Amino acid sequence: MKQHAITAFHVLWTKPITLSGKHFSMNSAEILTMMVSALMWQKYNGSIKLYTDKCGLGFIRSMKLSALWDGGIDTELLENNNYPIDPEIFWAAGKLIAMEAQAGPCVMLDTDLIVTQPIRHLLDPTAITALHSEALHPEAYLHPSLLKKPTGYHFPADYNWNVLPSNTAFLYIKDESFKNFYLSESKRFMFHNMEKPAELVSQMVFAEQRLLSICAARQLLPITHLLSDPFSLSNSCVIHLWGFKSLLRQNENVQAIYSKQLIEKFGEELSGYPLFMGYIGEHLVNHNSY
Amino acid sequence: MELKWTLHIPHKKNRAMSIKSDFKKGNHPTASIAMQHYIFAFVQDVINQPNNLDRSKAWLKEYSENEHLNYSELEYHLNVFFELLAEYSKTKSPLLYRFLKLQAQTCYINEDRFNLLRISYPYHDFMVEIIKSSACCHGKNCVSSSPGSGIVGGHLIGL
Repeated sequence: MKQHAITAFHVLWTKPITLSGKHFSMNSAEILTMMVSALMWQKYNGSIKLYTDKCGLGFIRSMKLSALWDGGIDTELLENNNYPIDPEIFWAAGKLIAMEAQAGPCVMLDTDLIVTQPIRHLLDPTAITALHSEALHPEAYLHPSLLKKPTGYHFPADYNWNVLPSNTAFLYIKDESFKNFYLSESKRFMFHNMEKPAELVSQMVFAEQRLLSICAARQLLPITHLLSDPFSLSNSCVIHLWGFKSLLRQNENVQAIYSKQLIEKFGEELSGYPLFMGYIGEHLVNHNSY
Repeated sequence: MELKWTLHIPHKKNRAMSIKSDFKKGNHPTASIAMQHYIFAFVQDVINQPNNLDRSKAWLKEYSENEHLNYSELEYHLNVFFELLAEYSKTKSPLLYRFLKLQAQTCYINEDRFNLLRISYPYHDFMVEIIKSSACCHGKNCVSSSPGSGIVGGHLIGL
């Protein structure tokens, strides 16, 4: 199954949370999703690695999940990185730092995204594949004049502000030189960009999602999307928690029902993975002891 | 609607994650038609006359035991259902309505019977919620560019 394997990576960067003194944690439904994400990738598409920091590793160890990533766990990169980036504003910068270090071609996979089938044949003919395009909602994708910029920074005149951003919960980049160009543009915007915005979405989604599409347009590279519409019922290969995480974090009963559905869908398929079975047995199964 | 359904659940830590471990397809527990009728009547009763709860519970337990149905498991699933119903009553969220329907099935209440429970419909449908809701989510629980609380590919896991 993995003869045409492609390497993916997860990122668990806890610094945006722990920096403000908060305790890092994930609920059981989020952990289960991350497990299914890693194992389904291994089953159908290739190896997967985790980039995290010491705090993230501590959490993973406490959950006995260290063996989940067959490509291993790297803590050096994120732990020792000293880029002048504000983790609160650029809370997903860990993903971009990891992408810079990861040899391509590779897939950046969010921990809340599950690819349910082999997709190498979809990626092979493309230069860039992202999850789906996003509308230019003005609340998330601010007019360039409203974005906070580092001192001396100017948007290049040839940036095309009309291209639609791409959701990067899944991102495949074949070409190393494009990856480096995209990341250098993103870093140029994020570095020393410390002025706090009124909300914590617009700066990050510009640096990660809108810039990807702008950079691709600038280099005349087409972006392919796994999904033409995120909520299309014809989608047969991707589950992404996306905004549902918010409800999931607020409601234990929703967590229970969601987890049950996930296990019903993937339980049999992943029953050969002792780690998966062990986690479910230890954390999720009703032993009916009351 | 005030719900007074409370159950004794000592294992609070694992309560929300109480999930069956048997993955084999077609190996789901079943309840007889008579039992399904009884569970439906029980749920209706709790919704309409919560004061009779203790007596109804005792009967439900007895019926379950006669049917060799795992009562503690059923009790757990009903508890999730009633808690979710209480939350839904406050919000009328289409997403919670979907979850409520799903949980009803876990309690052996099919969609036809669920509709007979006269639970008021959500304020608007799921897709409208997605379209009308804010373009991005930046509350304390979430930072993303997602429109509302939709899950991509939810239909793949029956959501």
